[in-house]
Amino acid sequence: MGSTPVNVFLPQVTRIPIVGPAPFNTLDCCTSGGLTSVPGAGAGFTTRGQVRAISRFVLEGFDQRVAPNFQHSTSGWLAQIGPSEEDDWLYAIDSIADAGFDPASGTFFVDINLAVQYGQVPSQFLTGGLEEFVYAVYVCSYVLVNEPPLSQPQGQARTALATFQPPRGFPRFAGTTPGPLFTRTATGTPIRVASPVPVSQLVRCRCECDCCRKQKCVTHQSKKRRCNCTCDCCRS
Amino acid sequence: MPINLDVNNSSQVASASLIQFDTGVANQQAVIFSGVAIPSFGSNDDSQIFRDTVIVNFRFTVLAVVEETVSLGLASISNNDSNFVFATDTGSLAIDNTSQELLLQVDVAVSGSPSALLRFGYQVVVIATTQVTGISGTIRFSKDVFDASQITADQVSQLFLVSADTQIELPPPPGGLFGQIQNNPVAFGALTGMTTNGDDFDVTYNIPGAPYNQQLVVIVQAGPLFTPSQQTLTGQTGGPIPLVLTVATPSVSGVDFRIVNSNLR
Repeated sequence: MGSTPVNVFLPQVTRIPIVGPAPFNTLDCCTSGGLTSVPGAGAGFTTRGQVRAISRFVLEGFDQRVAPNFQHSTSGWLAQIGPSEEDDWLYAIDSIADAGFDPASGTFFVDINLAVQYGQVPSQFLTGGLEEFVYAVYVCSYVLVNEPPLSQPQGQARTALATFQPPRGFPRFAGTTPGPLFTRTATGTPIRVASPVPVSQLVRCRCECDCCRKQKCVTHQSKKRRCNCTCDCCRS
Repeated sequence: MPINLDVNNSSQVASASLIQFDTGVANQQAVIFSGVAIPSFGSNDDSQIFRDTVIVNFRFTVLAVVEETVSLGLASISNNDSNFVFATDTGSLAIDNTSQELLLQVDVAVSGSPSALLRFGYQVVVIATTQVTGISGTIRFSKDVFDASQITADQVSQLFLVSADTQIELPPPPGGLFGQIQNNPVAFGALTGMTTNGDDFDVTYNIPGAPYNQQLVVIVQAGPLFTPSQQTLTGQTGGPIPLVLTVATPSVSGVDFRIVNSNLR
């Protein structure tokens, strides 16, 4: 069985020559995103924060002494969320806060305002005192810039690793408790977050009554549902 | 009943932005619109799916759409312990028959008890046939009102905020005698330069992209760098009130203003 040759072009930056308006001569389309987290976020409360998504777009001809002249149009979407089991949850890209070029490297970045309230994590996702949250976002930017003509062979453009980092001035979040740093991986395994609520308080009831079915009886949930169980976990 | 959102209102559309560039074809522009729309479309029933249409007014006038691509994605969703559905089912572009403004129409769906599709992100790439439209004029004030001789060319843009507004007459409140006029800005202008004429300063402005076939008034407000020592009055001294742009008359010039000291004490 033969294989079909596949050409893979990386990084994912598209440069489109344009004729204006001056001084712009190039429209760059770039994406960034991946798994992220908001410091202090957990189940039962909403936390807002800002993350910086760093693209693979490096401005050709970047000079640290000159602020790049650019215009951008950027939006974002949720890419992955969960898991959650019978609980309140919120995953939000509230807005695109800012965009620009890193003053040291000339790499294009986007600052994103996020909000999240994780749901109760099903027991099978709880491992060793950690909760497995998945929260991934994706942004796409079109950027008008002026770049010098290509000075190197096609396919050997400068590259940078797309990732998330805290924005300048970190921390700029409204978390309630100290939380983990942002993930630095664009793709990969779910984020492991130490819960602000001890795991021992999250899932422990094994009651089989209606209100506690599915082995999900967190104390505050039981109260909310007016649980009348007499087991230890539901009496408190 | 559609949910109407306006990119000029940050509580309806967050991070609204556009870039436009030349295609090399006369009377054509490529425009990319991005933003996070805030329909806040909710449900309190997870036994059925609720559907509605969200219309985002880009406040950008075109004559026709040549090519278009619409990208949508969920940006903010929430649920409380129930079954749920969140969907941006379809996205398409339309042109308002009256104003020629470009509209994004998105069919959304939500289910849950409760659930909310609070926000969705959009990115629209469009090649459109356009026409240069504009409202232009001069804002004049004397040195007695404000001495702008120290204002640099880069700072001129911060002297005034200029917009083209539609106006709605609101009726008097119950038991009240007087109604009021509500201004709704539909296009924003840029200050293009400043010259001196004797003791007068003349600041020129241009408002591109105002909608067609609507009665508009130009509103001039003081910017952060216009800091007169006394209270001032601003009056329109030239051009029609209101003014209407049409495909046949897409531009109006000479909409001039004068700012004077109010002499009220």
